[in-house]
Amino acid sequence: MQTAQVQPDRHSWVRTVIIGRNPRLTLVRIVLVVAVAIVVFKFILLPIRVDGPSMMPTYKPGAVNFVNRLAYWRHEPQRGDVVAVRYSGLSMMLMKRVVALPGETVEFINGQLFVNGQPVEEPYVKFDCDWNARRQHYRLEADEYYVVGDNRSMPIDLHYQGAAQRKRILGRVLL
Amino acid sequence: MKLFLRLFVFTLLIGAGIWLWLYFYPSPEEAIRRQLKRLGEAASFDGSESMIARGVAAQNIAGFFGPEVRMVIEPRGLFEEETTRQDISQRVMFFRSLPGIRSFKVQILDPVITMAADKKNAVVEVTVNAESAGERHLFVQELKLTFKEIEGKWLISGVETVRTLNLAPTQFFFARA
Repeated sequence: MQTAQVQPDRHSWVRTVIIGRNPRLTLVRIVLVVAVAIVVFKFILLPIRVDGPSMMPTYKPGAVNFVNRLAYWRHEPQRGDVVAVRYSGLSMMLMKRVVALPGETVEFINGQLFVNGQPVEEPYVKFDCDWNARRQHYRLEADEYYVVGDNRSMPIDLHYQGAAQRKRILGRVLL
Repeated sequence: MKLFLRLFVFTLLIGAGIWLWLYFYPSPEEAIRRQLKRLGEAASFDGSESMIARGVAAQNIAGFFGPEVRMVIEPRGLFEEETTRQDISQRVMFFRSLPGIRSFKVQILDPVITMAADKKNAVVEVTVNAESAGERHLFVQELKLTFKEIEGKWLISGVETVRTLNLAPTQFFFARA
Protein backbone atom coordinates (compact mmCIF):
# COMPACT_ATOMS: atom_id res chain seq x y z
CA MET A 1 0.00 0.00 0.00
CA GLN A 2 1.34 3.34 -1.02
CA THR A 3 0.94 6.40 1.17
CA ALA A 4 0.94 9.88 -0.24
CA GLN A 5 3.70 11.87 1.30
CA VAL A 6 3.09 15.58 1.59
CA GLN A 7 6.18 17.41 0.38
CA PRO A 8 6.79 20.67 2.26
CA ASP A 9 6.73 23.53 -0.20
CA ARG A 10 10.30 24.70 -0.43
CA HIS A 11 9.24 28.07 -1.69
CA SER A 12 6.47 28.68 0.79
CA TRP A 13 8.55 31.00 2.96
CA VAL A 14 9.57 33.05 -0.08
CA ARG A 15 5.93 33.29 -1.04
CA THR A 16 5.00 34.34 2.49
CA VAL A 17 7.69 37.02 2.56
CA ILE A 18 6.72 38.42 -0.82
CA ILE A 19 2.95 38.26 -0.84
CA GLY A 20 2.13 37.48 2.81
CA ARG A 21 -0.17 34.87 4.27
CA ASN A 22 -3.21 36.59 2.92
CA PRO A 23 -2.63 37.78 -0.68
CA ARG A 24 -5.82 39.81 -0.77
CA LEU A 25 -4.85 41.73 2.33
CA THR A 26 -1.37 42.27 0.88
CA LEU A 27 -2.89 43.64 -2.31
CA VAL A 28 -5.07 46.04 -0.32
CA ARG A 29 -2.00 47.14 1.65
CA ILE A 30 0.01 47.71 -1.53
CA VAL A 31 -2.79 49.76 -3.09
CA LEU A 32 -3.10 51.83 0.10
CA VAL A 33 0.65 52.45 0.36
CA VAL A 34 0.86 53.48 -3.31
CA ALA A 35 -2.17 55.79 -2.96
CA VAL A 36 -0.80 57.41 0.20
CA ALA A 37 2.66 57.80 -1.40
CA ILE A 38 1.16 59.45 -4.49
CA VAL A 39 -0.91 61.88 -2.43
CA VAL A 40 1.94 62.70 -0.02
CA PHE A 41 4.71 63.09 -2.58
CA LYS A 42 2.63 64.84 -5.22
CA PHE A 43 0.62 67.25 -3.11
CA ILE A 44 2.18 67.59 0.34
CA LEU A 45 5.91 66.82 0.37
CA LEU A 46 7.44 67.46 -3.02
CA PRO A 47 10.74 65.63 -3.44
CA ILE A 48 13.50 67.84 -4.88
CA ARG A 49 17.15 67.49 -5.77
CA VAL A 50 19.32 70.53 -5.13
CA ASP A 51 21.20 71.75 -8.17
CA GLY A 52 23.58 74.69 -8.34
CA PRO A 53 25.70 76.46 -5.74
CA SER A 54 23.25 79.22 -4.82
CA MET A 55 22.39 77.86 -1.36
CA MET A 56 25.84 76.64 -0.37
CA PRO A 57 27.02 75.76 2.20
CA THR A 58 23.55 75.21 3.72
CA TYR A 59 22.45 72.97 0.86
CA LYS A 60 25.00 71.31 -1.36
CA PRO A 61 24.34 70.40 -4.99
CA GLY A 62 23.01 66.88 -5.37
CA ALA A 63 21.32 66.76 -1.96
CA VAL A 64 17.77 65.43 -1.82
CA ASN A 65 15.13 67.32 0.11
CA PHE A 66 11.39 67.93 0.30
CA VAL A 67 9.17 70.96 -0.03
CA ASN A 68 6.43 71.08 2.57
CA ARG A 69 3.45 72.52 0.74
CA LEU A 70 1.39 72.74 3.91
CA ALA A 71 3.96 74.90 5.71
CA TYR A 72 2.15 78.11 4.87
CA TRP A 73 -1.35 76.82 5.27
CA ARG A 74 -1.86 78.58 8.59
CA HIS A 75 0.75 81.32 8.47
CA GLU A 76 2.72 83.28 5.92
CA PRO A 77 6.42 82.82 5.09
CA GLN A 78 8.78 84.14 7.75
CA ARG A 79 12.18 85.81 7.47
CA GLY A 80 14.88 83.15 7.36
CA ASP A 81 12.67 80.43 5.86
CA VAL A 82 14.15 78.50 2.96
CA VAL A 83 11.41 78.28 0.37
CA ALA A 84 10.76 76.83 -3.06
CA VAL A 85 9.68 79.30 -5.72
CA ARG A 86 8.02 77.84 -8.78
CA TYR A 87 8.46 78.67 -12.43
CA SER A 88 5.45 77.88 -14.66
CA GLY A 89 4.99 74.48 -13.00
CA LEU A 90 6.52 72.08 -10.56
CA SER A 91 9.21 70.46 -12.71
CA MET A 92 11.77 73.07 -11.74
CA MET A 93 11.87 75.51 -8.88
CA LEU A 94 14.19 77.96 -7.21
CA MET A 95 15.41 77.25 -3.68
CA LYS A 96 16.03 80.53 -1.86
CA ARG A 97 15.90 82.10 1.57
CA VAL A 98 13.31 84.72 2.49
CA VAL A 99 15.17 87.78 3.79
CA ALA A 100 12.50 90.47 3.61
CA LEU A 101 8.76 90.50 4.00
CA PRO A 102 5.97 92.47 2.27
CA GLY A 103 6.26 96.21 2.68
CA GLU A 104 9.92 96.12 3.71
CA THR A 105 12.87 97.63 1.87
CA VAL A 106 15.98 95.69 0.88
CA GLU A 107 19.52 96.71 0.03
CA PHE A 108 23.04 95.30 0.23
CA ILE A 109 25.93 97.51 1.36
CA ASN A 110 29.45 96.04 1.42
CA GLY A 111 27.96 92.57 1.58
CA GLN A 112 25.70 93.38 4.49
CA LEU A 113 21.95 92.95 4.08
CA PHE A 114 19.85 95.89 5.22
CA VAL A 115 16.11 95.55 5.66
CA ASN A 116 14.21 98.77 6.31
CA GLY A 117 17.62 100.45 6.67
CA GLN A 118 18.66 98.16 9.54
CA PRO A 119 21.44 95.55 9.24
CA VAL A 120 20.23 91.98 9.43
CA GLU A 121 22.36 89.28 11.03
CA GLU A 122 22.63 86.27 8.76
CA PRO A 123 24.45 83.38 10.42
CA TYR A 124 23.75 81.13 7.43
CA VAL A 125 25.93 83.26 5.10
CA LYS A 126 29.37 81.69 5.46
CA PHE A 127 31.20 82.94 2.38
CA ASP A 128 32.60 86.43 1.91
CA CYS A 129 30.29 88.82 0.16
CA ASP A 130 31.07 92.24 -1.26
CA TRP A 131 27.72 93.09 -2.78
CA ASN A 132 26.84 96.70 -3.09
CA ALA A 133 23.36 97.06 -4.33
CA ARG A 134 21.86 100.30 -3.25
CA ARG A 135 20.11 100.08 -6.58
CA GLN A 136 18.31 97.10 -5.12
CA HIS A 137 16.78 99.42 -2.51
CA TYR A 138 13.22 98.50 -3.12
CA ARG A 139 10.01 98.44 -1.16
CA LEU A 140 8.29 95.11 -1.53
CA GLU A 141 4.67 95.00 -2.60
CA ALA A 142 1.99 93.58 -0.32
CA ASP A 143 2.30 90.11 -1.86
CA GLU A 144 6.08 90.04 -2.37
CA TYR A 145 8.89 88.38 -0.41
CA TYR A 146 12.53 89.07 -1.15
CA VAL A 147 14.42 85.84 -1.71
CA VAL A 148 18.14 85.30 -2.13
CA GLY A 149 20.59 82.40 -1.82
CA ASP A 150 23.00 81.87 1.07
CA ASN A 151 26.03 81.76 -1.22
CA ARG A 152 26.86 85.35 -2.05
CA SER A 153 30.46 84.82 -3.02
CA MET A 154 29.75 85.35 -6.71
CA PRO A 155 29.17 88.77 -8.34
CA ILE A 156 25.70 90.06 -7.58
CA ASP A 157 24.65 90.01 -11.23
CA LEU A 158 25.27 86.28 -11.44
CA HIS A 159 23.18 85.48 -8.39
CA TYR A 160 19.52 85.05 -9.19
CA GLN A 161 17.52 86.90 -6.55
CA GLY A 162 14.57 89.19 -6.25
CA ALA A 163 11.02 89.63 -5.12
CA ALA A 164 8.87 86.53 -5.32
CA GLN A 165 5.13 86.86 -5.46
CA ARG A 166 3.36 84.94 -2.69
CA LYS A 167 1.53 82.79 -5.25
CA ARG A 168 4.88 81.52 -6.54
CA ILE A 169 6.08 80.35 -3.12
CA LEU A 170 5.19 76.67 -3.04
CA GLY A 171 6.25 75.88 0.48
CA ARG A 172 9.11 75.60 2.93
CA VAL A 173 12.07 73.31 2.42
CA LEU A 174 11.69 70.57 4.99
CA LEU A 175 15.21 69.50 6.02
CA MET B 1 -17.82 34.40 -17.99
CA LYS B 2 -18.52 34.85 -21.69
CA LEU B 3 -20.52 37.96 -20.94
CA PHE B 4 -17.69 39.33 -18.84
CA LEU B 5 -15.19 38.66 -21.64
CA ARG B 6 -17.44 40.30 -24.18
CA LEU B 7 -17.87 43.33 -21.96
CA PHE B 8 -14.11 43.52 -21.43
CA VAL B 9 -13.37 43.35 -25.18
CA PHE B 10 -16.10 45.89 -25.87
CA THR B 11 -14.67 48.32 -23.30
CA LEU B 12 -11.19 47.79 -24.71
CA LEU B 13 -12.38 48.55 -28.24
CA ILE B 14 -14.22 51.67 -27.08
CA GLY B 15 -11.08 52.82 -25.25
CA ALA B 16 -8.89 52.17 -28.29
CA GLY B 17 -11.38 54.04 -30.50
CA ILE B 18 -11.35 57.09 -28.20
CA TRP B 19 -7.54 57.01 -28.05
CA LEU B 20 -7.27 56.83 -31.85
CA TRP B 21 -9.77 59.66 -32.26
CA LEU B 22 -7.85 61.87 -29.82
CA TYR B 23 -4.57 60.94 -31.49
CA PHE B 24 -5.70 61.97 -34.96
CA TYR B 25 -8.02 64.80 -33.88
CA PRO B 26 -6.36 66.30 -30.80
CA SER B 27 -7.90 69.11 -28.81
CA PRO B 28 -6.23 72.52 -29.31
CA GLU B 29 -4.47 72.14 -25.94
CA GLU B 30 -3.11 68.75 -26.90
CA ALA B 31 -2.06 70.01 -30.33
CA ILE B 32 -0.13 72.87 -28.66
CA ARG B 33 1.51 70.44 -26.20
CA ARG B 34 2.66 68.29 -29.12
CA GLN B 35 4.00 71.35 -30.94
CA LEU B 36 6.02 72.35 -27.86
CA LYS B 37 7.43 68.84 -27.53
CA ARG B 38 8.44 68.82 -31.19
CA LEU B 39 9.94 72.29 -30.86
CA GLY B 40 12.05 71.16 -27.90
CA GLU B 41 13.29 68.18 -29.90
CA ALA B 42 14.01 70.32 -32.95
CA ALA B 43 15.90 72.90 -30.90
CA SER B 44 18.14 70.26 -29.33
CA PHE B 45 21.22 69.34 -31.28
CA ASP B 46 24.53 67.62 -31.31
CA GLY B 47 27.49 69.83 -32.25
CA SER B 48 28.73 67.36 -34.83
CA GLU B 49 25.91 68.04 -37.28
CA SER B 50 26.79 69.01 -40.82
CA MET B 51 26.15 72.39 -42.43
CA ILE B 52 23.25 70.98 -44.41
CA ALA B 53 21.72 69.42 -41.30
CA ARG B 54 22.04 72.79 -39.55
CA GLY B 55 20.22 74.51 -42.39
CA VAL B 56 17.43 71.95 -42.40
CA ALA B 57 17.10 72.19 -38.61
CA ALA B 58 16.99 76.00 -38.76
CA GLN B 59 14.21 75.85 -41.36
CA ASN B 60 12.40 73.25 -39.28
CA ILE B 61 12.52 75.44 -36.16
CA ALA B 62 11.40 78.51 -38.10
CA GLY B 63 8.41 76.43 -39.23
CA PHE B 64 7.09 76.45 -35.67
CA PHE B 65 6.65 80.21 -35.88
CA GLY B 66 4.11 82.31 -37.71
CA PRO B 67 5.08 84.65 -40.58
CA GLU B 68 5.47 87.52 -38.11
CA VAL B 69 6.58 87.07 -34.53
CA ARG B 70 6.58 89.67 -31.77
CA MET B 71 9.51 89.18 -29.42
CA VAL B 72 9.76 90.87 -26.03
CA ILE B 73 13.02 89.62 -24.60
CA GLU B 74 14.87 90.80 -21.53
CA PRO B 75 18.42 89.53 -21.67
CA ARG B 76 19.70 92.42 -19.58
CA GLY B 77 17.34 95.20 -20.35
CA LEU B 78 14.22 95.04 -22.42
CA PHE B 79 14.19 94.78 -26.17
CA GLU B 80 11.15 94.39 -28.27
CA GLU B 81 10.97 93.63 -31.94
CA GLU B 82 8.92 92.20 -34.74
CA THR B 83 10.71 89.42 -36.50
CA THR B 84 10.11 86.97 -39.34
CA ARG B 85 10.63 83.28 -39.94
CA GLN B 86 13.64 84.13 -42.08
CA ASP B 87 15.27 86.04 -39.20
CA ILE B 88 14.56 83.20 -36.81
CA SER B 89 16.04 80.69 -39.21
CA GLN B 90 19.20 82.77 -39.61
CA ARG B 91 19.59 83.22 -35.86
CA VAL B 92 19.17 79.52 -35.23
CA MET B 93 21.73 78.79 -37.94
CA PHE B 94 24.17 81.26 -36.37
CA PHE B 95 23.65 79.84 -32.87
CA ARG B 96 24.13 76.26 -34.00
CA SER B 97 27.35 77.25 -35.77
CA LEU B 98 28.96 78.71 -32.63
CA PRO B 99 32.19 76.80 -32.06
CA GLY B 100 31.85 76.73 -28.26
CA ILE B 101 28.59 74.80 -28.25
CA ARG B 102 29.09 71.07 -28.66
CA SER B 103 25.62 69.95 -27.76
CA PHE B 104 22.42 71.61 -26.73
CA LYS B 105 19.35 70.04 -25.21
CA VAL B 106 16.16 72.00 -24.80
CA GLN B 107 13.28 70.98 -22.57
CA ILE B 108 10.02 72.89 -22.67
CA LEU B 109 8.40 72.13 -19.35
CA ASP B 110 5.10 72.69 -17.57
CA PRO B 111 3.00 74.38 -20.25
CA VAL B 112 0.09 76.31 -18.78
CA ILE B 113 -2.33 76.86 -21.65
CA THR B 114 -5.00 79.55 -21.67
CA MET B 115 -7.25 79.35 -24.70
CA ALA B 116 -8.91 82.43 -26.12
CA ALA B 117 -12.69 82.36 -26.45
CA ASP B 118 -12.44 81.88 -30.23
CA LYS B 119 -10.26 78.75 -29.77
CA LYS B 120 -7.96 80.11 -32.48
CA ASN B 121 -5.49 81.82 -30.16
CA ALA B 122 -3.79 80.72 -26.98
CA VAL B 123 -1.33 82.04 -24.44
CA VAL B 124 1.05 79.42 -23.11
CA GLU B 125 3.38 79.87 -20.17
CA VAL B 126 6.32 77.48 -20.20
CA THR B 127 9.63 76.93 -18.49
CA VAL B 128 12.52 76.42 -20.86
CA ASN B 129 15.53 74.54 -19.58
CA ALA B 130 18.58 74.36 -21.77
CA GLU B 131 21.45 71.99 -21.12
CA SER B 132 24.80 72.07 -22.78
CA ALA B 133 27.78 69.76 -22.41
CA GLY B 134 28.82 69.97 -18.77
CA GLU B 135 26.13 72.47 -17.81
CA ARG B 136 22.84 70.97 -16.67
CA HIS B 137 21.04 74.27 -16.49
CA LEU B 138 22.71 76.60 -18.96
CA PHE B 139 19.64 78.71 -18.66
CA VAL B 140 16.24 78.32 -17.12
CA GLN B 141 13.71 80.84 -18.31
CA GLU B 142 10.00 81.25 -18.07
CA LEU B 143 8.42 82.31 -21.35
CA LYS B 144 4.99 83.42 -22.40
CA LEU B 145 4.26 82.17 -25.91
CA THR B 146 1.35 83.34 -28.00
CA PHE B 147 0.00 80.69 -30.34
CA LYS B 148 -2.26 81.27 -33.30
CA GLU B 149 -3.96 78.62 -35.40
CA ILE B 150 -3.02 79.26 -39.01
CA GLU B 151 -4.26 76.85 -41.66
CA GLY B 152 -4.82 74.11 -39.12
CA LYS B 153 -1.39 74.46 -37.52
CA TRP B 154 -0.66 76.05 -34.17
CA LEU B 155 2.17 78.52 -34.77
CA ILE B 156 3.98 80.83 -32.38
CA SER B 157 3.18 84.49 -33.01
CA GLY B 158 4.71 85.98 -29.86
CA VAL B 159 7.51 85.26 -27.42
CA GLU B 160 7.86 87.13 -24.16
CA THR B 161 10.19 86.51 -21.24
CA VAL B 162 8.57 86.29 -17.83
CA ARG B 163 10.27 87.41 -14.64
CA THR B 164 10.07 84.66 -12.08
CA LEU B 165 11.50 87.06 -9.52
CA ASN B 166 10.90 90.78 -9.84
CA LEU B 167 14.05 92.91 -9.95
CA ALA B 168 16.02 89.90 -11.09
CA PRO B 169 17.91 90.36 -14.33
CA THR B 170 16.75 87.81 -16.87
CA GLN B 171 19.87 85.96 -17.80
CA PHE B 172 19.77 84.51 -21.24
CA PHE B 173 22.75 82.35 -22.10
CA PHE B 174 24.40 82.99 -18.78
CA ALA B 175 24.71 80.30 -16.16
CA ARG B 176 22.97 81.48 -13.06
CA ALA B 177 23.65 80.43 -9.53
